[in-house]
Amino acid sequence: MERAVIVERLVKKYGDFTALKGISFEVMEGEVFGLVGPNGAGKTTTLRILATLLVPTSGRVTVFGYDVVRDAHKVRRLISYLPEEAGTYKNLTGYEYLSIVARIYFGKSREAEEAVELGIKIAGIGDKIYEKMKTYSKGMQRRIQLARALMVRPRLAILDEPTSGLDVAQAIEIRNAIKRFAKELGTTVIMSSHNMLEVQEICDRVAIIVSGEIKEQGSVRELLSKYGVDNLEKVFLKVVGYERS
Amino acid sequence: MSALSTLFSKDVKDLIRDPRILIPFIISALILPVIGVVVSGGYQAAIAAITKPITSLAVVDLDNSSFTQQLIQVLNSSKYVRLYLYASLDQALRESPVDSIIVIPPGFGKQLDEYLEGKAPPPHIVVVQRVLSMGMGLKGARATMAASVFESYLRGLLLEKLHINPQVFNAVLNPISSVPLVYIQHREVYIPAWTQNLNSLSLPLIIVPMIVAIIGITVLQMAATSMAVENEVRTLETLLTFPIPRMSILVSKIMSSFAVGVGGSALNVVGFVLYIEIVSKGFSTALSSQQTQQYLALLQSLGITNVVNPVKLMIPSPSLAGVVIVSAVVSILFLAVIGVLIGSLCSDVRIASTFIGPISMPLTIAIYFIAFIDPMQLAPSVRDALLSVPLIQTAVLSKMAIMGIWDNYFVAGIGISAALTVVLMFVASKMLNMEKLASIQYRLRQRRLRGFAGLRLARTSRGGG
Repeated sequence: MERAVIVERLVKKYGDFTALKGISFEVMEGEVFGLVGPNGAGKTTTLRILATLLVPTSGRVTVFGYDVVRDAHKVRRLISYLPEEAGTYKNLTGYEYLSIVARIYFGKSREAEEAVELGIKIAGIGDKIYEKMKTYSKGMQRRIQLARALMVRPRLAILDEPTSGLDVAQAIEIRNAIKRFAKELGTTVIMSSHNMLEVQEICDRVAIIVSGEIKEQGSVRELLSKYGVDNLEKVFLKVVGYERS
Repeated sequence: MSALSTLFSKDVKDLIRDPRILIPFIISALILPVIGVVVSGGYQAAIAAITKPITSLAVVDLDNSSFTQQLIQVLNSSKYVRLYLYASLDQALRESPVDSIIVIPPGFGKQLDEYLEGKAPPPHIVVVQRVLSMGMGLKGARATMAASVFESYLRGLLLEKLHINPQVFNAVLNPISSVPLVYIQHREVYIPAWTQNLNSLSLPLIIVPMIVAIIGITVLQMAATSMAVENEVRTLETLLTFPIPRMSILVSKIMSSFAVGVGGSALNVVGFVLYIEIVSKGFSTALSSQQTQQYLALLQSLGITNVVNPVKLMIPSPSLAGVVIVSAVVSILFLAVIGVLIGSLCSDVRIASTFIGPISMPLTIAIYFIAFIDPMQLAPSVRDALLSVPLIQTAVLSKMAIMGIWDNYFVAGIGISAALTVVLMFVASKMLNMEKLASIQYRLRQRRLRGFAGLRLARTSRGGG
């Protein structure tokens, strides 16, 4: 299996503040990889570097062999990125938005039409797709964003807190869509989340990041066995040391 | 190109469907003519009230000389004026049914005699206009009219007393009637400079720079808002990960703001032109068409046929119109780039608006300055400097184009503006980078949050993780 993402000794500084302190991890092709950690741990920074939005201070990051700094344009052809709490163009319909994104990736082609069809399927919001997105609920907006990210069949989907701010039912819908379509499309997924149970359900492997350092990584089963607990939340608490308090 | 056209269509749709953008265009197009009607209506009503003939006067004769008594007798016997006599101003103010009160001071008759002998200055009268309320503050003009009525009766009495023929007197007083014209040298046309045409002569010279300013500032605001919205709802973050050149994102924003701004401003401009038209008509004190025809017939007999309506000057020669259009396009693009830059640096629309205000204000003041000055009276170096600054250049150019003046510096000025625009676009395309934007936004926000418990909030602005 090919290595989809390689992160080596990645450091990111904002002025005097060091957000990432030399983290390293790998994601295999077809894998769903979870990056979990408390607020301010460095999850979003890591994902933004992978998405070519930020430049590392030092270290190296490659996506399917392409360097995210040197070959940023090539990397952008392989990835799609779903930012945390990404908004929508309120005055466009969901259908128009998906069509625009499909055209950006594929031009005016059959491929673009297929992408839109797939997007509509992933979004699963029925006729609402033809209404302006300002009428959408938060869950619907998130579904459109997820559809936009997956319909272009990226080799790597980078999802930052995909269920953040959603109620339980909406979160379950998004989670199911990620599980189903990532597998169907053979997309490698790297996602961040606060929700350990969600990560345990969706992800094959997990890295726990705290204060810019990876404290633990491995498959969910390995981590549960290593810490002798029955869920990832307990692993997390043991790793970050919250249990003591 | 395909990505650019797709982005352009997205940006245009997003802009024209935004009621916050569309409604102000429509409202201003509708409201300006309405304001024009209200203002000119109020003015005309005030003028009608002022110019109403004076049919009665209150007089307080404190002189009581034989001359003033004779004058009062003449006024009393007049069928045009009804006279009310009072012993004091206080009494007149209290009791007079008439609002125009003339006070003849003691010694008036004696001083008039001395004046006729060339031994003293003209005698004074005091005219008081009693008012209860003020509309447009013009009721004071009734006092002047009352004085004129009094003066005309006095003049008649003097002509009779001095045995002067009234016709001869009028001819001596007004020996000629002039037909003033303005000749626009470079356009080889005459502008009638009598009464209302004096106002409309300057109208195109003011309107054209104003129109340029309206469009330019609208586009600036629209570009900034459009980009700031991308930041505010975090769609820019997604956009920057798409496999498209940064320049496409920038050009699309600039072109869509340009297209929607110019289109929407057309509505604004229609409203503005209607406003000016209505107000200028309302404020004009036109000559009768019969008089105008007499003037034109006289001019024609002298071979002066190219007398044009000043409004027609708004359309310059094709070459100068071309220069103005090129300059306007460059200027508006320049402002669109500034708008995109501001918008991209602001994390939300409100912050963008706070930056746009201070930029629009000096631009508006500069355009007002240009609208009311004569560019040819400026020192050549100052004029060339103004011709090198986008937007201001277009305003100066439009005024010179109206007067038909060609300056070789036009091309250089437009070249400088175009170069500035290209440089700014290059800078903006380099700025369209999450790393730079996040860092600048972070610094701006930190400045705003200084003195506030900022550390936690500042960390949030760097991202959630």
